[in-house]
Amino acid sequence: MNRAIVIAVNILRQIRNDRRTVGMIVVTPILVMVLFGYAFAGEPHDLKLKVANEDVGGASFQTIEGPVITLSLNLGRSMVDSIDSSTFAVTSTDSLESVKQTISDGEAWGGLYVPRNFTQHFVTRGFQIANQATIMSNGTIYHLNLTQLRGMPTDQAYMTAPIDNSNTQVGSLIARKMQEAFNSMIALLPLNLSFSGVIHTDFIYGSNAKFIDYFAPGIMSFVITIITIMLTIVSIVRERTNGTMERILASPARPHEVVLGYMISFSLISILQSCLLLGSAILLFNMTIQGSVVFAIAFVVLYAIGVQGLGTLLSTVARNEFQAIQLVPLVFVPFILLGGIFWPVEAMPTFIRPLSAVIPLTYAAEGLRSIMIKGWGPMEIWRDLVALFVFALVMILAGFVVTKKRASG
Amino acid sequence: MPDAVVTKGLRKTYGKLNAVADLDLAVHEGEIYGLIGPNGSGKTTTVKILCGLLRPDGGEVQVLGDQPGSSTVRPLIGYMPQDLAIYPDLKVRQNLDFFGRLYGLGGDKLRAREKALLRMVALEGREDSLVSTLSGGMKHRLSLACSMIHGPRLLFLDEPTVGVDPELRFSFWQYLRKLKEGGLTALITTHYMDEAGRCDRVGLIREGRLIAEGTPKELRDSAGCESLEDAFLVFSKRDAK
Repeated sequence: MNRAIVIAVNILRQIRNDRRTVGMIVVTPILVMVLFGYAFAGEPHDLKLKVANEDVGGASFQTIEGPVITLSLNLGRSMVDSIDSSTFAVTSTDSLESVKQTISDGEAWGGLYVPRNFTQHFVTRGFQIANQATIMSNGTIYHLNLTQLRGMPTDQAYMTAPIDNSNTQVGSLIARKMQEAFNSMIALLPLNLSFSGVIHTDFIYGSNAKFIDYFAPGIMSFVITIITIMLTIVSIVRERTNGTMERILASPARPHEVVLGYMISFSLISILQSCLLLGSAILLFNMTIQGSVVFAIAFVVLYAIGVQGLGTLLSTVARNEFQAIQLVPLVFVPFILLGGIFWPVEAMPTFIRPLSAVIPLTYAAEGLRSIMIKGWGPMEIWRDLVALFVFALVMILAGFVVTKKRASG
Repeated sequence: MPDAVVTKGLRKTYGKLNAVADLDLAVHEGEIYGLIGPNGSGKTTTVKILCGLLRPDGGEVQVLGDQPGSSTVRPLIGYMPQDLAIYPDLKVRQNLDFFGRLYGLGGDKLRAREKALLRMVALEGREDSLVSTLSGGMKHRLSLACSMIHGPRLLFLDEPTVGVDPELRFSFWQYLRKLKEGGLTALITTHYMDEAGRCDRVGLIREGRLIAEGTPKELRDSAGCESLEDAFLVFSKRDAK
């Protein structure tokens, strides 16, 4: 028993003297807990929603007693007012086409269109279904002409909710929230009217999307991240510890050639990985790819180049391969939790979103999702392309600087 | 003939530590020069400066008539670091191929060079063996061959025989003498005093400074000792005073 304690104390002493390991032991659990807590804190909020409410309001009916009774309602406005303002950031526009275009351009996750005669047609349809023949106005009960009521148009008794379903979680949330808004709007009505199917959902993207369609692009980007970073750090640290890097740098090879050599090899590895990931997603999970496969792979390679540069940079912190492996969770945890792989960035608290914005995986996952589910090309995902290009450029330059520094002492 | 390596007042510090302090050194063309000193005396730092891997903090340094690390010098020098500095997951020939191509060799010239070196370091027939499967001695010999693949004029060998058994050390020095006969200049660092006796000239280094220089015989005579080890101790004591 004594010897076991001696061994235990010896292990703890070694760990205590290795500041990086102590850091890992203390920082990683806190980092994981904090990020998990915030990243999975709740439902998405501030989702952009575009609304076009053309409803003029009012519903008029001819009564058997003579007067035309007009109900002063505007259900379109009531519906818009009932939309959950914590979930959605609502902006207005003037037509269904405009709503769809906004979603199609990726400027909003969803929308709502209320037609011009919605109130009139909705109440009419409600009366028709309820077969209601009486209406109260100023304390007097009036009777409706049922035959005339049945002949009244109801084609605008429906609202349209165009939705970007490329993120199935967000898509189903929008559909649910719209129904909730409708239910609370109906509950406030002085009339007892209700029928189902009033909101027609229209999936702009991802009409047949499954959950795997949403997370597969994120997983692809994540696998590329982890493998490229691990391989780069381990390769460089190994080159350094076994002395081959010194031998290379004493030869006519220049630092930029070393950086370029690493870049080329890891680009080829990432092409192979992308093909394997895409191939298995298509063959095993029947995933559909709307956009260009070649563009998707090229996009992944651009990302891999940046990640490889990040690995080069991180390799300067590690003295040996063991320390190199310890660095991986520090990249792994924030990337997987804040990169929008499983849960949209919109679900994170506002104060943590800037962190997502500086994590390159966010752009890689979002861009790849747009290519694979929405079928977008370079013009549509230019923001993600620029972000990854800047990331790759900065990382290559940083990799070059640290290699040059190593080359010249 | 100009000297292959010349340093005057060479300095390199790490924080408060003077790794190399006012080192004056001259290695003649065609000689095997031994930089001898205890661990931490500044041998490796000096070699790294001469290979262009470290920037000195002061003094003058010339290698083959130019700045170390310059594009004219790099192709002319060979460097064998303290570690084996070969790829264990590559085959013997793949290692030689890689380092040869870094120096712009290729085709028949590279093949011929590989063949000659493999014969010289007695690794013929092991071309397709993975380095990780080789014995320690074989790895050492391959490491030397990798330093020689491009036929350098000047070879820097940093403690090449540390942890090497006596038989291998003997054959290693045989290779080195053979290379010298071919016109090679070599600067070798070691803390084995018996090895110093095999060099043409020896520089004794202590705390980053050269405390004595000459042929092994000159040093022994000057110190009035039988062995170089004793001579080193005499020079160290004089220097400490």
